[in-house]
Amino acid sequence: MMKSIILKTTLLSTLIASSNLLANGNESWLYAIGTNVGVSNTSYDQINKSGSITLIDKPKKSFNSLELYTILNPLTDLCKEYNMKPYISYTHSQNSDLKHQYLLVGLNKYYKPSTTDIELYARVLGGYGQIDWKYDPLNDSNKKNVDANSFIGGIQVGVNYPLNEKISLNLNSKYLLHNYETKLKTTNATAIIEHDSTASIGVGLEYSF
Amino acid sequence: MKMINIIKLTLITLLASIILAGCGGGGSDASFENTTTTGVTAASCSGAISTWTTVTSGDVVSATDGSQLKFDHDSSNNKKVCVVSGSATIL
Repeated sequence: MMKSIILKTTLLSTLIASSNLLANGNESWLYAIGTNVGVSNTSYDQINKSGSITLIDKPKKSFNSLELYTILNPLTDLCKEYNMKPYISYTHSQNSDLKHQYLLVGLNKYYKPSTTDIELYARVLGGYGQIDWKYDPLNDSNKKNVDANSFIGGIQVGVNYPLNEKISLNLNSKYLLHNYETKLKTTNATAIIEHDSTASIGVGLEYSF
Repeated sequence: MKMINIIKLTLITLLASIILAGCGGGGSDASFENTTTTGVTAASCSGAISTWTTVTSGDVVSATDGSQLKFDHDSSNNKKVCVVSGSATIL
């Protein structure tokens, strides 16, 4: 619970700090905020270390997700030259078994075909996240809030379709690598559940100003 | 200058995160333990499926090292488990 608060506070502080830096700058920096809703699939493996533990109810792999993000205008000449923009996001996803939330920072590279209004982008991502178990998998009646944490690395590709001068429709897909470990121990067996990757698709709106 | 530092910080964070995520390091684990529940001993596979142990939603089958288990459904679609060798308990 405390880690969750720290994660959210860090995001908020980062966003506020970014806004202040932009506001205090001598140049008029453009940036964008956006939100996506989507679905994700977080894959996992169970490794039995001694004996075997079989959960009759397997944890669900599919999540519903909500992402809030900001994209900062090119901050250096190097970024401007290569048309790259820093990106910061917070994603909250959950199903009936688990909550999965993460903070990501990234760099976007944009491509705009001359024949169309759409803008394509690719993004390299890094960050930190956590999964929260909503119950004790070894004792279903026992409600829990136990989390595992991991660094995250990943890539994202997407497309922006401008609806008007300020707002665009965003469609994207992400692939993230992480390593959330959940250790299980019974009287005669031990096992580890490893949530190792997440693939997601999202759709949303982006507001530039 | 601050802006350049932000870019550097972003790049370092990206690189560190990708390396740590790829190597599986840097995080903390969740841990669950149930060593107090005695559980029900799973039936042997020597009898008919009706004699096997029924498992339901939320159950956990815990078996000793080297045990072999068999899972199946009976004619009423109840999930059943039995032990081919070794021993197992249902928590």
